[in-house]
Amino acid sequence: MPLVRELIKGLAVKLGINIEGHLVNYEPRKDLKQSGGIHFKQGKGSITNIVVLDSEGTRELLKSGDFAEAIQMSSSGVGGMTREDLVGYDLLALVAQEEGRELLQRLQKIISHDDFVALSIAMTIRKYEIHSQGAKALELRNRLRKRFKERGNRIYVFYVSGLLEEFMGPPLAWIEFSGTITDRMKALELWNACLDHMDYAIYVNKLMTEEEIVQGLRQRFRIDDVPVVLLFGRTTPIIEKIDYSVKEFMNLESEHQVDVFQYAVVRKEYSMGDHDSLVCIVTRGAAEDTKSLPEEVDES
Amino acid sequence: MEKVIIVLLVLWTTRRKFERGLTMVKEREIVLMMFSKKDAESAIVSTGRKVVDGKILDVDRRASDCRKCGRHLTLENLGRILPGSIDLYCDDPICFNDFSVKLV
Repeated sequence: MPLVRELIKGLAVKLGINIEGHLVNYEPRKDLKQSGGIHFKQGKGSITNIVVLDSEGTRELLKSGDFAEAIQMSSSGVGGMTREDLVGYDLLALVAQEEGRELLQRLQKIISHDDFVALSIAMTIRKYEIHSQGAKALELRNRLRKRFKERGNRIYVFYVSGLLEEFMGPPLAWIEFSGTITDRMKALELWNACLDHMDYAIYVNKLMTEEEIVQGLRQRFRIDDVPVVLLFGRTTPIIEKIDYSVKEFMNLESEHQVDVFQYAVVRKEYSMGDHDSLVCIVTRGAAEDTKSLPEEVDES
Repeated sequence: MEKVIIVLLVLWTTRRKFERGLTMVKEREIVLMMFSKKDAESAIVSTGRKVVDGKILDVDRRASDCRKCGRHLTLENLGRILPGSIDLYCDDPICFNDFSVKLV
């Protein structure tokens, strides 16, 4: 099968038009003496050229009759048609995807197709935000939320906040090395935990102090009034910091004279190679020894 | 144990680098051909489908749907014609991502 580029060029030659003049000139191509399209280079072994042909050029090609041949996908080339008002989004989606290709390739082996598509959309929205197109980004966020519900929105927040890279990066890098099913399952569990309990989770990083963690826990339990709070942390010093903070929090809570709550703590460690991650689940329940209000006695 | 893991990692990285050095540069071309609304009909016809009263019909004369969201397609809401078995997508921007993730 001929390359998409050669096929289109061939058709153009047959029609007697100069295809180069019809390429939308976003950025000069670096590999050849052609102009038009966007050029990507990933590492030493891979180059991706994204080329956009304008509608006038496409119209000329449509007249050739055997145009369907140009719509093809192979390992060396992909040819497709897109409406002129949508090309901006499509191009940005491809650019975002090419830039985050390494992360996506690693995640592809673990997460579901729907999560994967939602992540790809989140990456595109981020691109819009970077290009200061807030209105468009907001519109796309609403579409994402409508299509993928709350989970889609959480994937967006997880990616945009940088927490995805921070928490999933090292386990994914390890999976690239080990690739065992057990490690993949652990990474999937971590991914799901991060998304399922995002609302009131505390992501602990190097800069966070013990006081801040305790304050965060107290705020969530006492002010936000939530029953479950998750603490995420990576690397041994941070895990130790979390353990200390949870103990400190329990001590402070035990000093309460009124509104005494009992807390259950479940630790889930994810050790993959030399990467350690911890998910600490703190659950609140009413204390057993709290005095219930005296029942009203029916005197009649 | 840690030293063994480090040595293994170094060996693995060196091997990968060596392999990459040996392989040729893999080049891939993604060509997006823009079409206007008035060219939508001729684009559809070129794929072997038909257009009746603005509605797009498959080869077996059933109404064509967006491959991702399942919306019935017309000349007005046709967004993309993409490879696979020449699949049609609507003009909802995020439907494109369902296709684009195949290119990762």
